[in-house]
Amino acid sequence: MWNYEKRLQYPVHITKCDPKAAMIIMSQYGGPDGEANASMRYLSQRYSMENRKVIGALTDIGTEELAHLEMIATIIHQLTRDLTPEEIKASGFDKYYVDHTLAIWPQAAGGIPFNSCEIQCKGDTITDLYEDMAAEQKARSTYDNILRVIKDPEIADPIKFLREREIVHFQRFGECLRRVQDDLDHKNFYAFNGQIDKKPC
Amino acid sequence: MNKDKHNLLVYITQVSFSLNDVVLFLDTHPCDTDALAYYQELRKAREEALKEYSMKYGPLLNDQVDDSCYWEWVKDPWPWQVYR
Repeated sequence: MWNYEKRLQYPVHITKCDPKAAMIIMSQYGGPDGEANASMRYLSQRYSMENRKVIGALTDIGTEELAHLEMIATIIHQLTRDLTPEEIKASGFDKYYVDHTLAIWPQAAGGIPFNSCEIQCKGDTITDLYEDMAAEQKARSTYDNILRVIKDPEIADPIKFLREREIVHFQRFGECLRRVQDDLDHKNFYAFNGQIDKKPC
Repeated sequence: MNKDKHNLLVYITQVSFSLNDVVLFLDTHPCDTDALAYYQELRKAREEALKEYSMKYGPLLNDQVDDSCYWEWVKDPWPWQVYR
């Protein structure tokens, strides 16, 4: 069960329109390594996961990703809220605008709609944790790419916060993997998959 | 799960659902004083029940952990792991 808190995890105050920046940052809303996919990946992996500590990390990180989704939406909204028709045409935002006006719709920067093709819930603890660690690095790279082209501190500041969280989450998933491996056969981590195979006696 | 623990969780589920429902009603009827009174009643009941549950059986929210020796949040089964 979830409850909502009427606040952002980290403040976002953007005072200038920048539809080009919005189009790029949108990838972290509905793109391949975006926050929606991150949350769905972790929350969905929980049910077959056998380790309660790993489930705790998946629950709490999956929940935090929803807060990041809200921050990204706020950034996009504040970057586009006062656009004039002239600015929409000149900036190239027109192709998005014609379908969604100034609403927030989950898509990648290239216009590909949100989908789950880039995430995996494999039902194998080691596989899923490597998937999660890779996901955090892919999101971190995306934030690095954003920060390489966006220099306005009003936009860069919350993006830097989100980038830092990817690093913290990567660390936590790495610790989960280590904990899980501590309980496995050290000579062969792949001898069995705790999510489906019975532990050998 | 013992009977008292189960009954208290059922009560929390009921009172929380009533709260969810009256919140939806208030979103579209913000001046309804009867609904506002009902909301206050439910809010208090939920708060008290959550407090009682976390004291006796462990946390339902991750800011209700009282144990200073172990992170109880990961101790109990997760909701989909509870078979009766």
